[in-house]
Amino acid sequence: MTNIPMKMRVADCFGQGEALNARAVHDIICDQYPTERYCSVRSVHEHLMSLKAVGILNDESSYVDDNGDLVSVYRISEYGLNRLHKAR
Amino acid sequence: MKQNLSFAKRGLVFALISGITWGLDGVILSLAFASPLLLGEEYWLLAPLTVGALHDSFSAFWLLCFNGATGRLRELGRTLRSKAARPVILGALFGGPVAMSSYMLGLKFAGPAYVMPITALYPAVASVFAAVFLKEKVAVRAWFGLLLCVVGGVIIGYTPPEGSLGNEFYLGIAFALVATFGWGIEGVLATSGMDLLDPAVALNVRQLTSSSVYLLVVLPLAGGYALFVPALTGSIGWVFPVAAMTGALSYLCWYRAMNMTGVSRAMAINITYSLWGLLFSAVFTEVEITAAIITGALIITTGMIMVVGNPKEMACLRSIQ
Repeated sequence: MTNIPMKMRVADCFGQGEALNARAVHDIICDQYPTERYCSVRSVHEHLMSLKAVGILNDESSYVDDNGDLVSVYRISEYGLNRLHKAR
Repeated sequence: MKQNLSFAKRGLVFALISGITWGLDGVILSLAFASPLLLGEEYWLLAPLTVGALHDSFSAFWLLCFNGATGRLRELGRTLRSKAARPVILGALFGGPVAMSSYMLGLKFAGPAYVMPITALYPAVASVFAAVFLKEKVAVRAWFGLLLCVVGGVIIGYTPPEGSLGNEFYLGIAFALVATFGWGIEGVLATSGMDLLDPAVALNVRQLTSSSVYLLVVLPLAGGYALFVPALTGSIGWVFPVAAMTGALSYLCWYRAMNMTGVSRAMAINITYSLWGLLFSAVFTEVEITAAIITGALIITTGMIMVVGNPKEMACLRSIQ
């Protein structure tokens, strides 16, 4: 269990400079929001797009997975690191 | 790129829905303002603030239902305790009780002819704040578009001045400026908070803050709760939950739009509420469609197209290295 709002926790996953996609982020955080419907890959995906739009994350790469879905991979920006630091 | 553009375009749709529903919200609330209960001269300040308190309280309740139904209630608790919620709470104070009370005082002291055009500038104020504090990218074309939206809103909402200016005129203008800055800064503070918070949850924080301040601070200062129970139990009682539901939907779309497509675009499209409000009034009440309304509508539409501009500009909203 964590007391950090999920969107902030999603951004926090990138704090060490890793490049991650929505499913990888979901796998990292899902244990911290147990039994919460809100913690879904879809919610994480939506948060990642929003974090990208405001410049906290940058597009690292993208690929088409085995199901034919487009998967985006993100990495945190310098601005994102500063923003996270201030929010903690 | 395609995914990012589709995200931003969804934000534009949310902004448009927020304008339409805010227009409808205003028309529903006007039914309450037409009630003899709220028309008493002695209630010139208390009546609109009671309506504001009821609107935001019911809105907070509907959002609690929405967040409960979508599994976000624990997120609301976490958000209320987080540092990232502070700008949202501050924005709620500016955009809720402070701006609304100032707007009402401005109308009383300076009259609508002066106050309406001044307060219609709030999207421009918000865009300036967004460009400065959020480093939001606003193209020159978009500034012109925003200007057109404001001008269109002023033309639609314009009321000719009545009588001579009283001693309190400049105080009224000052209150109108406070309201304009309050609404403008709310968008920027909320958007800053939503960088790291879910928009639906941030909005619930906003409405809970606003309703608490209305109920615990503003109404006692403005004369108490004299109208509270009569308004809820009278013939207009249904208006408040219904208007608040429309208002909650409008705010939800507005907050999501600001987060997804930027403050300046969301604000410029949201201000079309003046146009939608008149259209709904024309359908449901006896408001006439005049040449000024058509001119204002055309100007707003042109402005909106200019603000939206090239969709590719929306892939990254801010000038950040």
